[in-house]
Amino acid sequence: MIASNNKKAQLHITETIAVLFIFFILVAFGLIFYARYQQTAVQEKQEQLLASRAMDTTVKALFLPELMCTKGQAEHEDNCVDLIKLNAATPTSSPPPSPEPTTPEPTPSKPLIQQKSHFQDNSDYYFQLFSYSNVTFIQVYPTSQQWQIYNKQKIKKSSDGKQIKDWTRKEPTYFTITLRDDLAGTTPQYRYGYVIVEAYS
Amino acid sequence: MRSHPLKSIKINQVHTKKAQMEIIGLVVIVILLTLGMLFLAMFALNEDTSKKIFTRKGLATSTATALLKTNVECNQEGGEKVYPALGKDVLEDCAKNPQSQGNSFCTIYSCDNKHCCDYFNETTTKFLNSTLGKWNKKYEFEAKLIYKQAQPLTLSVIKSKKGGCPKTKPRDTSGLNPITVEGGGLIETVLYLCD
Repeated sequence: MIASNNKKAQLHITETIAVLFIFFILVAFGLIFYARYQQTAVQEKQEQLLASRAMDTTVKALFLPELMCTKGQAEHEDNCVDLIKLNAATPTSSPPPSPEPTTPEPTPSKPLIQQKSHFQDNSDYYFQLFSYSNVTFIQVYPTSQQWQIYNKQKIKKSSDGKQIKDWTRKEPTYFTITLRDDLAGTTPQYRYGYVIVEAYS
Repeated sequence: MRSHPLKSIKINQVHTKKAQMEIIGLVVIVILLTLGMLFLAMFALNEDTSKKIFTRKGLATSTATALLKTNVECNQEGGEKVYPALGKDVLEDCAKNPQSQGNSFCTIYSCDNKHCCDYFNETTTKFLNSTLGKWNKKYEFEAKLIYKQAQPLTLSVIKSKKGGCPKTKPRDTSGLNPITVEGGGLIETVLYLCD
């Protein structure tokens, strides 16, 4: 009778150990899964924040009073940039990059503007508006032309003292605009173009 | 030696209780697993698309407005160089002289020695391709002439190389950009953007 009871108790202990073992395996799986999910969620959140910043910067660039089309005291024109203001703010404009029909516009590696522009003179003020980003206005028709008004990239110093880029992601946002040329004739002419805003992170 | 009948009934009751407890335990585990799966599905499917939609809507509106506002180089009667707006002027001329009604010339503008409808279609295709097409977006542009009770006359339908945006797909619209035609009628232009 005692031997049978002992066997029963041993069986119970083995059963309990097995149940606990499976329980802890399940908990471990849950923890691993949660950690993986959190990792992806954080990455996604970062991407969302970058996309949101890119969008905010685009809106700020589109509504810059320094560049917007105005008519006296009347309301400004939406999605329109005044060419006179744009040329005055960025004295040197450069030809557009080589056409690549399927890929988005690459970030120019070299600074396009040789002279100091209005935006470079007031870089601290514009940094508050645009942060680390690249804002370029591109004219498509009648001729190809581009104006890079702002470009600030995160940089760090490498071990050998060289400056290298300190960003891993770039979020481009595009918006189609018209460029108004008031000097073209008796009536202003509108040209077709777009603005590209790349936010760095 | 025979056991008491009451004792065997008691043992049976204890066994039934134990079995019930085990079933309850199993049910709890199944409920927990189901809840876990539900949460997983909820998190996985809850994708934030607000940015996408806002950008697409804004892009459709700005592109349609910019397209119709742009001035193009044309000639008027007598060879005089003029710069009409692609939407208001060239498209209006196209609506007055549609090719489907046998008009081989436009009355006001001659752009690149082409019929104004052809010129409008070619230029619009070029503009859309150099912006939306370049950014790998799918689009569909439509221009229709609405006149009194008659059936609307399609003046232009332009689709991206990757295909158009049918009604069945989720798409964003630029909204209607109505242009009044001199002598009666209304041109309705709309640009759709989709993924």
